[in-house]
Amino acid sequence: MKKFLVTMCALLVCPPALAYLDPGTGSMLLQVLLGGVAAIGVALKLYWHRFTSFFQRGKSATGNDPGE
Amino acid sequence: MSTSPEYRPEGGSFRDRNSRVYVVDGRIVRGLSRKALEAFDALTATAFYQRAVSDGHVVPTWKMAPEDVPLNEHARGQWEGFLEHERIQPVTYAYEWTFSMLKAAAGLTLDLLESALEEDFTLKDATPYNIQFRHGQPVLIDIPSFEHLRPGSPWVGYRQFCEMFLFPLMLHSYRGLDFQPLLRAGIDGIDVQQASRMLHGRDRFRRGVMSHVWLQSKLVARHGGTERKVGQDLEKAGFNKALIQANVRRLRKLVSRLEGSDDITEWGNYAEMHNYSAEDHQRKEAFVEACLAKAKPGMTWDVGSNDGQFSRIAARHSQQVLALDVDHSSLERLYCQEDRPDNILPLLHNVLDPSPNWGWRLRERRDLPHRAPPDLLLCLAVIHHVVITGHVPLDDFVDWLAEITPAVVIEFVDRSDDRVQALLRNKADEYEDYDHDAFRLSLQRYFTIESKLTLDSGRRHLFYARQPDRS
Repeated sequence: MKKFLVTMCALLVCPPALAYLDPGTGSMLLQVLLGGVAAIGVALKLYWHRFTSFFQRGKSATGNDPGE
Repeated sequence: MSTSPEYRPEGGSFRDRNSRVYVVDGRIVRGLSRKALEAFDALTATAFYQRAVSDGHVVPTWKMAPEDVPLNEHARGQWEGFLEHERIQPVTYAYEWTFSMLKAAAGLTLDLLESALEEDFTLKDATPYNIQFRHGQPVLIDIPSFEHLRPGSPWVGYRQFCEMFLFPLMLHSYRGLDFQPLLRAGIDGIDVQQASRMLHGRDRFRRGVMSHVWLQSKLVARHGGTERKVGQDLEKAGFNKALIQANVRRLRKLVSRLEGSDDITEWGNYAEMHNYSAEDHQRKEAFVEACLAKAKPGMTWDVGSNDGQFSRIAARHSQQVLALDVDHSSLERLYCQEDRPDNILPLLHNVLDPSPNWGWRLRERRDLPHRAPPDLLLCLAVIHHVVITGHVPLDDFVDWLAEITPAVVIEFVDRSDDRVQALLRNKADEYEDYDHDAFRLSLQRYFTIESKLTLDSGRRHLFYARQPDRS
């Protein structure tokens, strides 16, 4: 199960912005994966949103990073 | 308006905007914002907090009446209310603890979190700086770390728990690495990327490494730059308390299964390996007992304590004994002794490389003399290591003694002793100052020798000395 979620996670990554990194974000996402069976629904819901928004963003992205 | 030094907040308490600690005449006073005060009132009404208080898992704490707050107007005006905590002495840090001490502190943090979650509270921090040892047992001292759990929110202290507790414990348990120098090098602990580089190869298949280390490092690297509000995403996706509880239970199980990796060291069987007779040993014990009984110190440092044989004697006559040594195995054994008196605290401490003042403005974490100045220093069979192995000139060593303590019980080991000979064996002997008479004269520059004992072997001399102008 965990491996499935890991793969999902790896497939849906966005490249990290070069601005300020927030290490808390990745740790928060991990807590979904660590929730085990109880987390399946949450993980699917979360990654479905991210999956759809990935494509929506792809259509509208300008490619400009506000940076500093 | 200038702030007089006694009303300056403690250097290590600046991170929480809702609370600040002051030490005034030995009392520990904590100012709270309105938000923190309301959280404290709600906290004290919970069953889990009351249980934690009665079990001694949190530091005894009470609300102060405004007229009792020993601060000036300026400091009082900054806060909505004040708490007083029982003072814990000494304050110690994880880079001075043994593996089992850090493990006990990690276990307490998770236990408190698990019971807090049942009543919809959480711990916003998970750092060993919030845990201290009181009567030999870990207690949480940062009460405002408890706050209401926001529905849908993950455990915000998880990453900090990993960096400050879990990774150091894993590195010791799985790789046999000393975590103390790593925690002394980074005030926020061991970063997940660093941990991932150290726990590599086959280590990835050890319990907990794949998920808490490798996967977390990947997620942090890949999602650290996201512009999404992940907290909100999690809430919308239905993240809930049960997920935190499941994770905390797994972490608790993981931590409890981690085991120390100590081998028997050179010092591991010190009690059996000293090189003098049983009679001399008894005379040495009797001398130390008599000196301590006379001195009745509040705080005793047993420097080079090994597994605490003489710390136990000191503990009978002192309020608190710090058993200080460089050898982790010996201290670990002392900490794990079921009959260890609760006023003995084992700490890793190297007088040649001691805990420094460091962190923000070099005041966030303090050196040991600042936190726990000794009334008496017990220093048995240490001097040859400092002078010969550490290359510290003899007079310099005595200068340090005079600087740090008003009284000392010290053993001088002659250069004819085979332990000293062993240290000199492969060295050019440039230690002309290492001499019994030279030591006595050096000591008398500051101290009055109250009593002296030469053991039958004639190679070991014990001194009890006090500085007349320091009580």
